[in-house]
Formats: sequence, C-alpha cells, structure tokens
Amino acid sequence: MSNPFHELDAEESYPLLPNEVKVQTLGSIYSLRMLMDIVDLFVSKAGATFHTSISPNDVNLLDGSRDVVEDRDDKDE
Amino acid sequence: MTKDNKQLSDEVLIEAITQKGETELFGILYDRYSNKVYRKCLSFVKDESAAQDMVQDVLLKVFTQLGKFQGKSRFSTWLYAITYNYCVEYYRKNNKYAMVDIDEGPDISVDDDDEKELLKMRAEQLKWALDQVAPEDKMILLLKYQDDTPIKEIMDTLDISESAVKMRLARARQRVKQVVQEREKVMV
Repeated sequence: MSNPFHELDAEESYPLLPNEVKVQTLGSIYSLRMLMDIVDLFVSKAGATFHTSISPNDVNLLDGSRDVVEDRDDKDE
Repeated sequence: MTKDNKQLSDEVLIEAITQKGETELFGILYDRYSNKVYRKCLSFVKDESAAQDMVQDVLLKVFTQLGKFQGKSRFSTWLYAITYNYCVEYYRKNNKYAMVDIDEGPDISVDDDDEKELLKMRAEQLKWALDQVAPEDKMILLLKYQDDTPIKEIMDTLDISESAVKMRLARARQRVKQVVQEREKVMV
C-alpha cells in the first residue's frame, strides 16, 4: 500500500533551499563556535588566575615577598 | 572537508564535532538534512522566506544542543523532533488558535482501521486535512508516518510513555478523519 505521507514529502514538490542560506547558517555556526572557544579560554584563564591568587605561599606581585599562610590554630595558642 | 568524511555516519560526525571540536564537519550534516528540514518547515508555514529563516534557527539550535544528543534514537529522528517543535512553537506565535492539550480528553481506543483509512487517503486530501488539525497532531503524524519513526524512538525523543504516544497518534488520526468527514458533508 502506498503511503500518502511519503508523497507529501516528495522532493520535486518543494523548492530547494538556496545556497545563501547554507553560507549564512554555517557562518553563524562557525562564529558561534569561535565565541564559545573564546569564552572557554577566558574562563580557563580566569580560573587559573583565581587559583594562583588564592594559593598559599605565593609570590606577592606588588613587593615580591611571599605570602605564607600560617596555621591559625598555632597562632591562637 | 574530504570526500571520505562525507561517507561517515551521523553518529561518527557528531562525535567528531562535539568531542574533537571539528566544527567544519557540521557542513556534511547540513548537506544531508537541510532540504528535508526546509520541506518540513514549508509544510507548516507555506512561506519560503519564513521557512528559510526557520531552517537557520533550527540548525543553529541543533548545533548548540548537539552535545545533548544521546543516541537513543537516530539523529534524523532527534533533528526532526526539534524541527517539528520549532514549527509548532512558530505556528503558535504567529496564528490565533486554541492550543490543544494533547494529553487531555477521554481515552479512545487505538483503532487499526483509523490507520488504514488514513493511509488510503489521497495525498492532496491528506495535505489539506493536516493543515486543518492542530500542529501538535500534525507533528506526531508526520513523525510516525512520514519519517517512519518507530514508537520506541518517538517515546525516547518526546520523553513520553508508549501509551501516551499511541493515544496521541489515535487522537490525531481521529481529528484528521473528523475534518475530512466534515468537509465531505459540506460538499454533498
């Protein structure tokens, strides 16, 4: 039994998608990908910077001294 | 994009795009499916320019959600479900129509005769009838009978139970039958 739904979807009964739509769509996708890569890069850099800034025994960028985090319990005693 | 890449299956392409960042391979998926997506959009909006914009939106959406594709169904089924959902949404925004609550209403028997009757219709008649019923009904009928999607895949893609799929299909078939009968009554 032929399926009328398949007849409705016959390629010849519809126009083809113009090529400019492909150029626009793929262009948007590549731009979006680039933006996502930039955001990823920014987030990973920011994460690394944040990690560095809160790490103990790190070099203080202002005067070159080292921040040594002492054990607070020892101090209280 | 090499000739060899064009032979790759949808699943392999998706893995390369999502895991290895090979975005340019999306062009192959575009070539495979964009005209089908376009035909589906056109069947809902009847306006070439609007349908072209819809294709862009749908494929952009597909690209951003590609990581969520779990392979429970064929890629084509997943893509068409996104397309139909977008079309239904678009139709809702641009047409005044009472939204059909697809899960409401009395249970009806799942009747094989309705299916036979539907598949016996002339294409022209069916096309007209599908434009009269709610887009949600049209969507599930196209998924089942035009895209030949098995019930199991419809369940996974729409995230509904088997009985809900069968019920929605039965209701949609009945609504198509009803509009055709009403038209015939007027014409007599």
